[in-house]
Amino acid sequence: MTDTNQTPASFSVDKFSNFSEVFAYNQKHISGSKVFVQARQERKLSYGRLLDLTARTCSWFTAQNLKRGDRVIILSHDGLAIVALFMACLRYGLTAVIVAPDSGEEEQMNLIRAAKPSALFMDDVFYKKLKALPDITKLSIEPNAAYDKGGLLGKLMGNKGGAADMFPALLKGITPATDCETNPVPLDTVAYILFTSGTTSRPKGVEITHGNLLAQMKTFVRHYGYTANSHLLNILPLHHTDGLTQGPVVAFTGGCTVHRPLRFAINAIPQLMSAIYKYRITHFIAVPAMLQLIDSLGAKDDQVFKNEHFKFIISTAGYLDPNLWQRFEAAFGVMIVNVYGLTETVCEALYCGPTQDTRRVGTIGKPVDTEVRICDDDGKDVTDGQEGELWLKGDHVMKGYFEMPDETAEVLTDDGWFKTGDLGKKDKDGFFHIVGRKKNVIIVGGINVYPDDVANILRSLSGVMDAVVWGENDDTWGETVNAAIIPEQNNTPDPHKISEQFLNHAAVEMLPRQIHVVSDFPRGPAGKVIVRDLQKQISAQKQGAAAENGTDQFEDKIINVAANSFKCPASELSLSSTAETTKGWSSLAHVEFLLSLEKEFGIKVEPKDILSVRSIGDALNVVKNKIGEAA
Amino acid sequence: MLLLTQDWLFTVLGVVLIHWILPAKLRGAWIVAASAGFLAVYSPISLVIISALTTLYYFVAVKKDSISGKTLIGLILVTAGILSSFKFYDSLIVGATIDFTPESMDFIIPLGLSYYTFRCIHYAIEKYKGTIPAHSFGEFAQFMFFLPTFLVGPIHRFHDFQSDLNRKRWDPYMVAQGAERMLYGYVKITFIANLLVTGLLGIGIANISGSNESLYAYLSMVRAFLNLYFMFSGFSDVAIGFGMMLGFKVMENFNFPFLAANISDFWRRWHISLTSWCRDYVYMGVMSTARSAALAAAAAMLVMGLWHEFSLRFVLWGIYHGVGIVIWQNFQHVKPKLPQVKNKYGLMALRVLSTLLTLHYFMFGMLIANNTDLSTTWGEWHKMLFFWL
Repeated sequence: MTDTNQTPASFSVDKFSNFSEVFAYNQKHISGSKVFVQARQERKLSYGRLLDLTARTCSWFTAQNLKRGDRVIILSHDGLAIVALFMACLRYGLTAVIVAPDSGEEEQMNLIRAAKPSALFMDDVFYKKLKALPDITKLSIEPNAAYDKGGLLGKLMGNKGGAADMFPALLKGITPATDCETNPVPLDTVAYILFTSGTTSRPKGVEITHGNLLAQMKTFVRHYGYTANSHLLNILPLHHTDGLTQGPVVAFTGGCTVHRPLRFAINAIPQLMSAIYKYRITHFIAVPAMLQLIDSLGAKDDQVFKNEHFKFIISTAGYLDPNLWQRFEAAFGVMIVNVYGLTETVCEALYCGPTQDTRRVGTIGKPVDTEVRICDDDGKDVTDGQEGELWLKGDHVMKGYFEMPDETAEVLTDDGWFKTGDLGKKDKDGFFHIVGRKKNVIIVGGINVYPDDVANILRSLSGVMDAVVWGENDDTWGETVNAAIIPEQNNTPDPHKISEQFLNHAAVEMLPRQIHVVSDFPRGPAGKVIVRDLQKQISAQKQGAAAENGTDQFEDKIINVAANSFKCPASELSLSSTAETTKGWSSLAHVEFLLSLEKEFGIKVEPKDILSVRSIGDALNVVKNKIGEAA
Repeated sequence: MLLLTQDWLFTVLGVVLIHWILPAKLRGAWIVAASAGFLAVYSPISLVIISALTTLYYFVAVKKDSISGKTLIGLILVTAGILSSFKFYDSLIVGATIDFTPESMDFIIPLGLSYYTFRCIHYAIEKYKGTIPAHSFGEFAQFMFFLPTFLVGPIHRFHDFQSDLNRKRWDPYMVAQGAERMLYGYVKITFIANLLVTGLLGIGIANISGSNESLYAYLSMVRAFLNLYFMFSGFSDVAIGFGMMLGFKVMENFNFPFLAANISDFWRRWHISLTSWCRDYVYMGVMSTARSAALAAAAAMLVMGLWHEFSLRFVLWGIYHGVGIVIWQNFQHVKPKLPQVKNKYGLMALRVLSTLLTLHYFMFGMLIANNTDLSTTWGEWHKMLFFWL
């Protein structure tokens, strides 16, 4: 084995004709000690350990009589275990179905039933929680097991490698398979199935073959310029294509390291920024919601992106607002590459950047290794500048939806074109733009949520007679899920209790941000709910309520007071403005601002409030609380 | 001064070397152990106090998501009480020997007490405000037991410290930068402050003595300022450099204070970690309670004075600067009504004048702190301000 962490000059990702060659190449050329995945709490999985572990797991698969193309469920809270097992499946030729660990039990069982698996690889907690599991091969995963022992010191400190009857420790006595690469997995073998929703009884599963996946990985490595020195930061969930394929799978194909040091949360922005610096990240794979939050909460003077290591951010899985795009690039001095694709195309198809010839802010750039058509309702090409449905074709387009020939035929033409359901247009310079959506889906922070699924769950809850669900634009999340319900007669449901009930059935991203209780829905002649009229009706209700307590005027008033105190135009301020982002916000002006609010609203601000307010939004909350207390 | 000994240099070298040799998960424990070991050798009483404070804060504040107003007051009273007791005792025993320089801290005041008690109070107030992010006891212990800032500060903040902890990585460039920064610090202390300012300039000024008392007094005052600035900023450089060698970007303590355009600006550039502490926790605290900018400024400057020493001269020194800031604040209201200078050269001349005025205001104030009695101070002022008399 050549002991090097550098990409050999002869390396070309296009030489790989199947994943077996990728495994063989990495076995030969990548140092065994090189980190493949860096997980939370400094847990690591090295290339050497991965290759050994997957070879042993392949032997175990054989012993369990699992065959290529058999479907297996991977359900774990441990990202390293998911990665190790997924890579073993890829090496062996099993079809992996990764289930979201945080989704509801009903959703998890729906997916397990729909996948018709031959084996289950799950944390013990799920074996206990999920009822009526099929009687098939089972593998228990030990959560947070040590994958790398951390050298002599780690061993001395008692790192023994975990419970002997659970993965990965149970593989200790198993001889690693030596024939993994002698009979390559055929390209038409399904590598994984990603279910786009599990809340219905017939969830839709996207089948991605080895050929699809390899084609996409080659595009990624080539287009993004990944080398053995690349360090990718990708903390997106592994049960989503962006977390899986733009994370460990592409890292393995390019011989890079992928970092997953934390779970994304609003209060984790400082840790996220720290991780970019600490791990010398070269590429950060993010969804627009993350960029919005970093833009709002991250310190603008932070130099984490301005160093010799960092190359660019890849914004995926959702619409990137051009204002945010430009603002972020200017504030942090970093390039954002905006990409477009779907689970059905493995991940991406069009790329805006990183090269200047493909980059134009506000667009989704140009196709790479993909053919694109803009078609009208009859499937005929429209002329440049005209809007139509975006159709894609390429080696990375899915095989189809699992055991759903009719649904597959609806979106895949006989000659291999995939109808995306997104409306787009091509400008005169060849850049593509997304202008709308034909299909009914809400994209919340990069995650697809289907309104019909959410409405079905709401209708199943006690006290709810009918429900309607729609998406609303949101600066942070791109879109949010909103719902209106009609309660059953003689019932006045509490939206908070409905939310609690809802989470027993589905993942949190499906939970409507607002659940409005109405007496009836406005309907068209055919009885279909007219969502636009319903939104107007709710908006009118809210405005009426706001007018009663004057809530709507608070924000403007507070910003005007702030503008006077900080001696700057009100147009430069927003609720997220802080002392760091506002030039005139000195300690003296801070107190003046709070005291002016006292006068403006006739309230008494406590010393703690004066000390605690850090943004104009905080001040708004203080004012609201004080007025609420007085009322 | 301990910072100028071979022992200190070997300590720095050993701490840095072992820190980077150890696995990442043990480095924090090493910083705590090394700092505790250092205190055990040079100031066991300080080790007892800091250990007691760390334990107290762990049970009362670190373990909890937030603390109540009563708990905050209790913590401040205990923490400030410990510092005040030593300061009071110190002023009784050695009062007259205390000067503005860090050497003063080597005697009665337990090593680092002035700095880590203020760090504790900062932590308690931020905990009360709810701004302290989730963290482990280990992180808090490192924040407390951080050897680079024990001797002369800066009074670093928990948020910055935790961010540095999260970002810490082996970076040879940063270690080299730290070593270079330490070197600059030692050049400031030994070459500029000791040799040039105290030595050569001192000899030059001594020659004037007797022939022109006013000029002699003035130049002595300037020499004292230069000596203080180069010594103190040099010591800060050593601390910041040591911190960098361990992977921490400790906050800056000086930012060319002699270029300040007004007294408020000066205090944003001089001993920044202390002045920003007083601004955030004394000025803002008093301002939010009493709603008086003048009172808040006076309180902040008084605390700053007493932080240096519990004595009348430092009370007067604090009041002197409090008055300066209040005058400046009020001048801001009058300023728009005055004739505006728009000429480029006029503006430049005004800037030079205001900078000189600010610098001299500070230097004249230093005489209050440096002299044991007001009559001596007045005598010095008189010689310079009324030199023709």
